[in-house]
Amino acid sequence: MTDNRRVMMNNAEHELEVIEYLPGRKGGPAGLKARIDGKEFYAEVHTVNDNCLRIVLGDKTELIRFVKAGRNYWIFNGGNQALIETLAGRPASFGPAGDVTPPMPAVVARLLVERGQHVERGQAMVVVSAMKMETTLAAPRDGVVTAVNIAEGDKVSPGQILIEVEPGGEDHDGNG
Amino acid sequence: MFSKILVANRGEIAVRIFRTCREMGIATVAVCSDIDKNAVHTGYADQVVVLGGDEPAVTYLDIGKIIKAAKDTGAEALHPGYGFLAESPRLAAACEQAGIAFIGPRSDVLALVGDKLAARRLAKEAGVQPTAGTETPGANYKDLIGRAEKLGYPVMIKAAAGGGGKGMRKVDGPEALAEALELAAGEAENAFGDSRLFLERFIENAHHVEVQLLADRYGNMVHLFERECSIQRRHQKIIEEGPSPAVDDELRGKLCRAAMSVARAAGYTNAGTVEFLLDEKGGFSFMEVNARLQVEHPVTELITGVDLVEQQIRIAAGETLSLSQQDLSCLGHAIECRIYAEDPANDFLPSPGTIELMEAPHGPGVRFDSGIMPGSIVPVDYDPILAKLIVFAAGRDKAAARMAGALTETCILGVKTPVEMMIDIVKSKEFMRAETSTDFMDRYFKNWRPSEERGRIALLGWLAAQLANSEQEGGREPPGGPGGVGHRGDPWQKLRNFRLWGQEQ
Repeated sequence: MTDNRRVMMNNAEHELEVIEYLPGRKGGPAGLKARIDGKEFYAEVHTVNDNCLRIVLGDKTELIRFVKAGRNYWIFNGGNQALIETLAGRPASFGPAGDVTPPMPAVVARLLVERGQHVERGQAMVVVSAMKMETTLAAPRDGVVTAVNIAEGDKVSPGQILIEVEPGGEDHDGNG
Repeated sequence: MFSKILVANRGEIAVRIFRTCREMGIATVAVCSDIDKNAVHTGYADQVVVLGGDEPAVTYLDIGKIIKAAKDTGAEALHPGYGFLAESPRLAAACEQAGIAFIGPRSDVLALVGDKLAARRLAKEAGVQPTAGTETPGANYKDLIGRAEKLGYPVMIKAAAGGGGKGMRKVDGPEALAEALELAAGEAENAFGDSRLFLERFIENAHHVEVQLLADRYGNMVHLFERECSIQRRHQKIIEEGPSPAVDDELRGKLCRAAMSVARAAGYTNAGTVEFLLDEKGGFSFMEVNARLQVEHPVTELITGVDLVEQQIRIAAGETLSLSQQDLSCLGHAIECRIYAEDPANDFLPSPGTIELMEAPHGPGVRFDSGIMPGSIVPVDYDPILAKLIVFAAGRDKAAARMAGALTETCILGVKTPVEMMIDIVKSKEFMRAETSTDFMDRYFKNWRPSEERGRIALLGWLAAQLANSEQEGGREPPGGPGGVGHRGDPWQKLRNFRLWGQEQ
């Protein structure tokens, strides 16, 4: 049986391979032999409840808490916290290099440019605020602002394109 | 004693104040924004007033709405918590006018100590040396640049109306000063509506040490020893402890006497903190007065056994301070970790969201002050503090070991938290050696990343959960790919990727 899975954890890609899996019988533990990022593990897996597994690795026991949120899983294991995303559910990228998107869910505090304006790489374009912390989003390249998709006070999230910048000195219309 | 108290705050601090009110037999009123209607703090109060709206300006910062809520519910006193309006002379004055007791200092005292430059002058008059710096706000940038030359680099830019690290910046040389001043002034204007700046000489390897005070209206005052709060990110404290490992008995005596002199000169009443910077040679200088209950007050509560909120309420009700200095002793060592919704591996970026799963740590000497439960929304609108973990033990080493253990039990899923990083901090040799200067994070944990080894265990756990689930489902994987761990036979868990009103769930 070959079973390979690729996932993202904390924004880095990881490779998981199930070498052997023996389901538990009559409430007993399951056996799992797997390779994680090239390292081999043999684990005895006890199901504690819907959000908790007890994994025995030789002479070490790990309590794994987990919860599903949308397509992703949050995992907690003795202080370590991980967000695991299956690659299928992940947007390919955050759009082309000329787009400006916030790094976290936030509110637009101040808009510093307007459509048609020439901007230089690194120029402050919009200030977003989350939890009392302000973050300035800068122009990713020299160019012209071709679209401003937000207004002050809007709630925005990562991946959402707030401002589009096209290279060159001419005014383009729309998103080219 | 008051029969009813309104708490003009949210989150863990509102819950913490409600707990003491409950013990004292005092009825309580919570206020909340629309998004906080089901927040944990609303469930701890006897009555809830929804202020309407979400932005701080129309909710927890709206003095008119808050005073009206207190009047409408018949609250006799108001506790402001920390942050929001906690140090607002305008709220204290509005309470005084409305005949509501403000649980804090008088409005004129708040106005005096809230102006950092006025507080520095006050300290000097009381015989306590403030940090080397400018005595008046800069008339303009050019003026401040000239004064920075005289002070000597590096310098700290601070806002006269400052707090929470806003407007604060360290500048290493003259070439960077003009731009830093401009940014700091903008930040201060946005945060406080007051862009006045002043400069302090930066002290290398300094410790941030603060003294907790309680004072009644009749001239009685006690100190409750010091806290060390040097471990900070973005000039905001993240780990605090008491007593300070950098303070011996002789220095402690000097610091506590200095703090009381400043507070006396200000006519200070209720609970307050005087902050100092400690240099490498054991010298200290005054920084500012925090005229409120502080985030890190549980450290003092654990080492002294005193409920500071109870004392605040009794003082505000006009009682005489029941504690004398001889009654107070330091019983052991306490450490606090602030658990914010933020990503320690990504520049501490805020991480709003929903709490999906949560389990609190337990055990001897472990206190967990939290404002969240599973299902809680962590909104973008407010401060990112979720909870505070505080531990107490006989000595510092034991307290650090207890903290590391308790953190491994602190399961908060759904938003990013610094729990794993904090384990690494309290176990680090630098923390064990008490090398906790204010640049601790930049020096030792600047490029902190989660452990790869622990990450592999998380991935193994994820895999085990996937396989256990498909086993439950008879070996069939549900549509939409692998996944679907959850309640056996629950259609909401089995169904995936359906559309509800046009939005993919």
